[in-house]
Amino acid sequence: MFQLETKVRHWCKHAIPVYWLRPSSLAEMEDHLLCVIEQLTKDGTSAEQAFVIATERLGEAKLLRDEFRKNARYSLNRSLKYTSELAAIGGATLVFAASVGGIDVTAWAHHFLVALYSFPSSFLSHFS
Amino acid sequence: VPRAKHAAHAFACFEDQDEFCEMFFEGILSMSTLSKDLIAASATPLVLSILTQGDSYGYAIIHRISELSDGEMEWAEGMLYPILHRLEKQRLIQSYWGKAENGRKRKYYRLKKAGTSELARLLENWRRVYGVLNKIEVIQPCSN
Repeated sequence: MFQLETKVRHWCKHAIPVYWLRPSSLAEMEDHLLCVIEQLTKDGTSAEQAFVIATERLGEAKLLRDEFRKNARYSLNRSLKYTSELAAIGGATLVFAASVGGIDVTAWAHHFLVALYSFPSSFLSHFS
Repeated sequence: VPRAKHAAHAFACFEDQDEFCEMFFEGILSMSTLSKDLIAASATPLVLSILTQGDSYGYAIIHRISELSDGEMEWAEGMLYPILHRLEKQRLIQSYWGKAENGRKRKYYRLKKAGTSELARLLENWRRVYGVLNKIEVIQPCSN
């Protein structure tokens, strides 16, 4: 007998590297395929056929991979932006602390926090 | 920012938001063939508009778009998921895990306030483009 759920799960695991999926998207993709298959079988298609149609309807692997990669790049750019902003604020604070006479850890931390909260729009938006 | 706030306010004040969404869909989807670029450009407002009608999940969103377009707007179904994930990264929507009627694990998406503002901004943009197109008197090229 055609073991639908096992077949879908196996297909999705295989699809992770092909589609550049995150493992966390696995259950979502499984649910999608099973929804399509359920609808098709309700309309009279066999489970085997419905499985093939459902996977084909996902679209060309390359297109999907490109879209998921765009997301990965978006996350990377966001992290880089955040890190560079943090580094800029830290650097500016360091220069300021040095210019007002020596660097001690407490003063550095104090100036850093002051600088941090002076730029709420650029910095705090990362946590909203 | 004030313009986005204004648009969001306009959207919130619209008496019948369902009717507003229907009008939007009818306008966008009444075209018989849509280029890939147009489909890509309309994907975000479409998804956000559907989520104004309540929390939903991938398959249901695709099904709704197909239904509203009488099957004329067919996406590669997998393409919806990177779009949903991107909208979530942009904090326009929020996902959560729930259970389907049959007990299966299912990921639902909910529109956030920022998503409503973004939708209002996008709809305003579409309306502007449509308005400009309407103002242009198209001169048919001479056939001979």
